[in-house]
Amino acid sequence: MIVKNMPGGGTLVAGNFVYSSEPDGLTIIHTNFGATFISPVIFEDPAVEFDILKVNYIGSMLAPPNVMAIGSANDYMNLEDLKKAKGLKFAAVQPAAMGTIAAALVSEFFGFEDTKIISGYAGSSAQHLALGRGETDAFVTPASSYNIALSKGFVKSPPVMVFGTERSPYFPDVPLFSELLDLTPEQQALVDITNVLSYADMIEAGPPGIPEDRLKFMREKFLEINALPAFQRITKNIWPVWVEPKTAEEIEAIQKMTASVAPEEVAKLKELTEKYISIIK
Amino acid sequence: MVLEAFAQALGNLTSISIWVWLLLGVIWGLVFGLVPGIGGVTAMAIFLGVALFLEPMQALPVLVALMAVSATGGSITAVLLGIPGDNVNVVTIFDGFPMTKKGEGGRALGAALTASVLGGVGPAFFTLGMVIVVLPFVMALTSMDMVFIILIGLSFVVMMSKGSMIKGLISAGVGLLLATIGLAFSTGEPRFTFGNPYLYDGIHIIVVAMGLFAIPVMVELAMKGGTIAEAGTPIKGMHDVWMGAKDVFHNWKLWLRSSLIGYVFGVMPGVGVTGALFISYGYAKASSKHPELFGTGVVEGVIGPESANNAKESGALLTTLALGVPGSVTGAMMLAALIILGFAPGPSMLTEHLDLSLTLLILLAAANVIAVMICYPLAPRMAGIARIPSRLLVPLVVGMVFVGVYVSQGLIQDVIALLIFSALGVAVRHFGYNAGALILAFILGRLFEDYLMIGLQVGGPLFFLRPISLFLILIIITIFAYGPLKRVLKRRFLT
Repeated sequence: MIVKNMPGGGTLVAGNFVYSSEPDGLTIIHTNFGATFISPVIFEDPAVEFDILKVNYIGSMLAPPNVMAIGSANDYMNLEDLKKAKGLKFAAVQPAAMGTIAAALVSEFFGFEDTKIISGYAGSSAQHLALGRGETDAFVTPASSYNIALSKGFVKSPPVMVFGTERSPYFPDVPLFSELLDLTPEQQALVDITNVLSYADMIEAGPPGIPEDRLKFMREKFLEINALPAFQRITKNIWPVWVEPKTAEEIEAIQKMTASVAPEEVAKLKELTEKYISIIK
Repeated sequence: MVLEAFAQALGNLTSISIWVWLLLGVIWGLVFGLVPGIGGVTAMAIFLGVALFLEPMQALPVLVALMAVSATGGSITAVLLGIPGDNVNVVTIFDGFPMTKKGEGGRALGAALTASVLGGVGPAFFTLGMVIVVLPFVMALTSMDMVFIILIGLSFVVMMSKGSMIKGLISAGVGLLLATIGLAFSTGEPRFTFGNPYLYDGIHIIVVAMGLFAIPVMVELAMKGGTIAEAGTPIKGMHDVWMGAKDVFHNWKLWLRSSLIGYVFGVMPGVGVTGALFISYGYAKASSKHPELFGTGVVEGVIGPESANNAKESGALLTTLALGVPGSVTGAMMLAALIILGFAPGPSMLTEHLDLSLTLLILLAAANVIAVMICYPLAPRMAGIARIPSRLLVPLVVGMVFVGVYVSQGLIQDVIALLIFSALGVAVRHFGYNAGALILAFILGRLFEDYLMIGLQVGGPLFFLRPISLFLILIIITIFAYGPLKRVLKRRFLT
């Protein structure tokens, strides 16, 4: 087996490469679900050269939810404090990132006053440092990143809210974003897109056209490996709560949702996000 | 508690297995460092996959060794062939390679190796003592202050500009322009990518370093013929190497200050440690009695950057362990390794796992010593590379460079980009522009823009009105004003 690290284009170089490779079942991509197969599609990145409905998904695992957390260098303790605050700053990586969009929705729907999303931090470590220094006040991030920030003492516990369609077993008492508000249908449509964007699983996939028997074999073996206690023990170093892996059928259902996201709704989401990013205004 | 942890750390070090793994890591790191384009980061990335199946006290010594010594391996090729093993070795070329051409390759190697080991060992030992000072300093800095720290680095373009200042500034301008290629972090806008995802992350630094330095040197050698060492120049053996080692002790103030520069930059996350090397070179030049000789092959031009190069890893390891924030790319690899091995880098590494942190710092120092013990006896033979005919050396080295560049990311596009940057490098060299200024601006330009954008978002247009930022602005003004002011005062007091 040859493991080839293929950086570039935020995983798109690798995604395009695998999509166009020989469909013999020998070339597989292991990547972040949202970063490769959801976000670039929803935001119509011109570099995307694959059709997400034709990709052969094998399975996905390690799905930490996205959470919103408050930095340790300020006096805000919970959502009520944030609602009363003025001039909150959210740390974000870039405008199309899940964390940025979620921060914009939270600010808009809860009516935070004078909020700014500070876009441009070079990854989660930079965001953590910004929170620890008091340069920013909060952020939205995968829970694995939140855990790391917590271990460094840069954020408070517990997170303020979780994003997604169901509560996380790791944060059973932390409410979902959608539970905290009575959303209008228009708001719900934007939250639905955010929920799709929030998938941070590690996914395995291959090009279209893999022979059925090989695909079936890989999918079965994927689930068997995930069920091994030794495998679960090693992966708990990365994410301590074991969540059942997603099957290919579940991933295909998610991708149907991705493909059906209306461009007009995406445009509204972008407009809303840009309202809070001061460098774009 | 500290004494107890220190005693435990010493106890850890009595295990023979730790030293065996450390030695393996040193050899691996030196070999990878020697191959142009590969370097410590690639070596660590490859080893991470193996680390999953090892015990922590088997994996960590290897990783620490790779972090410590890959720059040392790269400095050997920088001195002897004019080719950086990695981008952190670029600055060593400026005077190291001219020394080899003059037949002083052994001396340059001796100076590089000695400066490396002292730069690597000294800071490792005072690192823990500096925790009380360093960590609050790192936490006090904000993105707004980083703008000016990067600008200090960029201002050393002036120092890099030997000869024509205009050409130096033009070279820096080209570097800044090349740094804009890719996705702008703050806005997500693609710039000069032409819809090609390969360019989304910008041009890979290895491609730029090899294209600007490695290939033009080989092209020049191929056209000139002969050998690297100029005809008639003797190549002395071990005597030359020891002379280089003694040079470091004669210039102990330069070594100390350069190590401090490297260490401080290593401690600061996100600032780009390459800037430290240019600053230490610039400092060496500014503090020399004969700054006009820099670039022609002076040993101080090797001592400065080599001291900083190894000192930075101690600083980077400290912030990686204590804050969980990597101070260098190798620090980022170490962070990933610690997490994979079940540790949580952060304050607990200075309390609950203080003995482990101490062990790693001692191993970092030890790795530097072992690397130099391996390289010293081989140095005279390695200096003999300067006598290999170009018809043998050029195809071998060019082949290694292309393979190294391809291996670094596994992308054929890097090889195509290398061809383009090689042409640029040859042109820069031929027309007397400044490759050093170009690469400095390329590396720091992107960082400068990113921090500037964040600074403006956080603090508005007057974001610099902070005590730390104002102090840094004062340093920048001093850097530019120092030369002219010195000349004016000299003239006034002499007339």
